[in-house]
Formats: sequence, C-alpha cells, structure tokens
Amino acid sequence: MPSGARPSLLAQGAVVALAVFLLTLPGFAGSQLVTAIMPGGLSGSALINVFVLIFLFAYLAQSWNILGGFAGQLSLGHSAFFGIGAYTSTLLFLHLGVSPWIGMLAGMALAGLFGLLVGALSFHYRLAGPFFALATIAVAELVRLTALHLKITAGAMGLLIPLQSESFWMFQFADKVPFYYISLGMLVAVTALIWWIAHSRTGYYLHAIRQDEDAAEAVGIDTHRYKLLAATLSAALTGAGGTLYAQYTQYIVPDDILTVGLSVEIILRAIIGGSATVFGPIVGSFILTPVAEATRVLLSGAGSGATVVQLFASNAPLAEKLAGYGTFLAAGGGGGGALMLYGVILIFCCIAMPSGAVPWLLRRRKRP
Amino acid sequence: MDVVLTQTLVSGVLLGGVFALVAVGLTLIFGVMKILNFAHGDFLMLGMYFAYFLSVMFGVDPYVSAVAALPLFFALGWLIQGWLIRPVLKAPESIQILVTVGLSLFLQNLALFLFSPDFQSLRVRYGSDTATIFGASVSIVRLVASVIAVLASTGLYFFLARTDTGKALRACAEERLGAMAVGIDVERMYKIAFGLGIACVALAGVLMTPFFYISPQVGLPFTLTAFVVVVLGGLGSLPGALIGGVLIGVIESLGEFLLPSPSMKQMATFSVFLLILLLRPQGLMGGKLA
Repeated sequence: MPSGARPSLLAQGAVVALAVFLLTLPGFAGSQLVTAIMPGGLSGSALINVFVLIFLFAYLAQSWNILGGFAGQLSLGHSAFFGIGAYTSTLLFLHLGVSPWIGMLAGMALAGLFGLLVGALSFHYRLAGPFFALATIAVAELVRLTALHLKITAGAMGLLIPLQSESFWMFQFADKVPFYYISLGMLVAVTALIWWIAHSRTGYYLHAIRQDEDAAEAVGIDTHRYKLLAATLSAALTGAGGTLYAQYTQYIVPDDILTVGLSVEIILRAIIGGSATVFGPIVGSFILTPVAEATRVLLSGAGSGATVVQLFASNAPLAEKLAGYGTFLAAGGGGGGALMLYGVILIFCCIAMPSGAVPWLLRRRKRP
Repeated sequence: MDVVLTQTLVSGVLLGGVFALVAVGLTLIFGVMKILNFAHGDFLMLGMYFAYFLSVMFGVDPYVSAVAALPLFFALGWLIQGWLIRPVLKAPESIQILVTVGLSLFLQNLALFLFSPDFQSLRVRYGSDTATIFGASVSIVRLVASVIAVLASTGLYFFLARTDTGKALRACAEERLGAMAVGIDVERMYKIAFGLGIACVALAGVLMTPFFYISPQVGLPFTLTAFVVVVLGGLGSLPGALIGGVLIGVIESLGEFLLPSPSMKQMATFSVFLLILLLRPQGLMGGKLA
C-alpha cells in the first residue's frame, strides 16, 4: 500500500545503516568483539548461520505472501513447492551433474507448474477459505508420501549432496559466507519484486480479490486469472528457496522438508510480521528465527520413550517416578519444544495482533 | 459372497462407526460456530494417551476411562472455546484457521515433549477376543468401540433434537442474531458446542486405545478423515456425518484389502479426500444439524 508521505531523513539513514551493517556483517562476525557479546560462547559462524536462516525464511515467507497474503488464499501446503525445488535441483546435480543454478531454474519451473495445477483445480471447483487450506494440506501430504516411496528420492533415507569442489558455478561452498550473500541477494530480489507487484495494477487487483472476491469479479477483474498468477509465482519462488536450502544443508529428507510443520513455519513469519504487507515477512523472520534457533539448541530432546513408559509401569515409589520424569523433561523431553513454542506464538499473534507486527507498529505511530 | 470381502466390509462398517463419532464432534463445532477445528484429531490423540496412562499407571480399564474422559474433555473444550476461539470469532477466516492450526501444533508437540515420539500400544485382557457377525469374525474391542460410538452419536442427535439446550444450540447454528434476540446466551452455547465436540472426539480416542497404536502424530490423519467425512456428509449435518463415516470406513478397509502397503492406503485416503473436496463440497445431506 502506498504510504503517501516520503520517508523521513531519520528513516532513510536507518535503512542505509542497516544495509551497511548487513553487507559488512560477515567481515566482523569472527572478531573478538562479536565472540565476546554472543551468548553462550557461540562462534561467528553460528551467527552467520542464524542470519542465513533469517534471510531464507524471510524469502520463503515473502514467496508465500503472494498467494497467502496478497491474494488471500490460505495455503498450508507450501512445503510441497519447497520440496519440489529442493529435489529437482538435487536430483539433476546427483544424476546428471547439472549445476544447481540451472537446477534452481528447473525446480522453479516444476514448482510453478505444480502450483498452477493445484491452483487451476482448486479455483476451478471454487475452493476457498478452509477448503482451499485443506486441499493444499492434502496435496502436500501426497507429495511427501510420494517422495517417501519413490526409489529416485531414496525415500526416508534422504539424499546427501557431497561437497566435491568449492565452485560458484556448482553452487558449492565450504564456508557459510557465500550462502549469506546469496540468501541476502535472493531476499532483496524477491522483496523488490513484491514491492513492484504491490504497487502495480496486479497488486491492486489482488487486494480487491482478498477484500471481496465477488465484488472484484463484478467490477470486471478476471479473479480466476489473477489467483492463478499468484499461485504460480508463489510456488515457483518457493521452489528456488528449496534449492538454496538443499545446497546449504547438503542433505534433504521428506520428513524434514515436506511436512505441514515446515509450511506452518513459513506462514508464521508472514503472519507475525504482517501478511499482505511488503516488509512484514522480513520483520517476522527477524523476530522469530533467532527465537526458533535458540529454542532448537536449548530444547533438543534426546529422551527415549521406553524409559518413560517403563518408569510409569514400574513399582518404584511415586516420588522416585516423578524425579525420574523430571530429569527426562529437563533434558528436553521427547523433543518438540521448538514447535510447541511456535504453536503458542501463532495462537498469541492471531489473538493479540491478527494483522501482524508491521501494521500494528504503523498504527501506533499514527496515534498522537 | 467372498469371505474375505465380507470380513473387509464388516470391519469397514465398524471402523466407520468410530470415524462417525470423530466427525460428529467436528461437524457440531462447525455447524454452531462456522469454525473448522484443525486441531480436532489432536484431541483424539489426547484421549488415547489419557486412557493409556490411566491403564498403565493405575490399571484402570479403558471403558472406565471413557466415562471419566467425557466431563474432563468437555471442560477442556469449554475452556479452549473461552480462551482461544472466542477472541477470533469475528476475525478473518484465515486467522480462525491459523488459531486452530497453532493449537494443533502445540498439542502434538506437547505430547511429543511429554510422552516421546515412540509408538505405544495398550494391551488389555480381552484384546484378542472375537465374535462372529454375518460369518465374519470381528474383534470384540472394535465391535464395542463402534457400538458405543454409534450410540453416543445417536444420543447427541436426540439431545439436539429434543432438549431445550439442544434446541438452543440449533438456533445458534441457524440464526445467531435471532437466537440472541430471543434471549439465548450464545456465548454459553458456543462453549457447550465446543465442549461436546471435543468430548466426542476424545471418547472416540479412548475407545480406540485397545486396538490402535498411540503416538503424538496419530491425530493428523484423523483430522483429515473427519474433514472428508463431514464434507462427504454435508458440513454441519449430524446424520450426514454418520453416513459419511461408515462410507469412508468401508472405503478405507477396501483400500487396505486391495493396496499392498499401509502408506499406499494413506495415499488413497488423501486422493479420495481431494476428489470429494473438489467434486462435492455441498455434501450428501445438505446442512441441517439435526
């Protein structure tokens, strides 16, 4: 949405300072100062890792936002597009030696086509609201189950991407810093694209569709066509994120990257920052990703269920059972701590600030 | 008829009875509040763990737990309606969906955290007893689960059709403003509806513990199956949920009979779900609650 007034000098200065900070961060991430102020003796490399994840998830949330935010079609199945991108480039690389950069384009094309197909079917049969959300869950689960059973994807074993030689052309780096700049570049590019869309005729059409589809149809907008456009673009961009992820982690497996949980992680960033806003997903990722990473480290469960059950079925005195169970929980229980927190944050955001942090902040600024 | 096929059909109908009870809870909540509860299957999971731990720790029989579960889960649903759902009743649809998605994520991972990801199963003395119906041999626990589930669904139907509270609930479902105008406490009716819906699905979970594995993620397929059932039977329609439940139960059992691996069966379920969603969003029975 156009804000009208030009940003103040202070705001412009802050943006320039932030840009300089982000561009030079890898330069001093390993310095003594950063090591000194990082909590728990984390290294500079861990800091870079957090930033790569911030950029990647902001990028994914931006991509989701085109369909889920601007067009108002709540997709809960974006993991499917992400996974298609990751598997396409990885399989092309492993079997044919194709550069993952080319694979990324191929993955975008496939994910985009798949998005077009899902959109065409759903919108043709007039699925909307919860029914569209349900259909996308079902599609994503079908993709996950397919990946688990195809020979070529190695099923639940997952695919390893061996580091052969460091080469930009082959999208392979031993260091995290190149990924830092690549993910930052992708985020800036997608944000520029979305800014442009939001201020174009298409953006206004999508806004109208989100507000009232029947009214948009009545004033002559080809709603079907614009929803399809949003679905295709959103899916293709998400696919590119999948390739980046695959190259960065060098390992992909269906139960990591094709789950409903991943879709929710993407959506969370957009909702927390503000869906259908240009900068909301970025703000959301800067808020949530560090929290998520910290929780993942602190609450990585290592417990085994057999002990819990044996403990409760045993004849030990109650106090001893409770003490043993306390130890189990203190060690992270059976896992799931991070996702539990996501659930709480999602509920809180929906109830307390349903339009997200960015609109919330803007509203506060306007008040005298 | 072929013995194996009879066996498959009978066990499908029995499974369908339990599906129906899960779906009845979902459709009641949707019918009254127009909210689709994406965390529905996770309450089934909670019901299963409830019966499981009562049995493992204190030796309580699952059918005794079933009686205890009803008021407990009714209260849980009542509280969740008041704390989480009521604040978003007037919010956009996507926010309502995301609240229940968040609740689902929370409950699943709470179970993971508290009980670990390992699959559990409850062994009861009479777990392997069988009876013979139409020449098919069926396990007693499945038969009992199905019978109780159908009785509970029918009981709920008559509660809605005959009692004052039931009539007030139906009034809220059909005309919220009108119900308010004649002095019905709509907020309270919403809490009752959510409580009843959660109690139904938790009861289904407890009844399934003697013959179904238990894990934190056991709920998601049931959430989706319940959605299939209510979409097939017509959203907000109780008789539709019963018929849809039996239909889906038979389809699932036939799938199990015809398809080689359990995961292919799951794929079949999702495919059928997509087809039904695409082709029949208005359902078999229209949209009357009772």
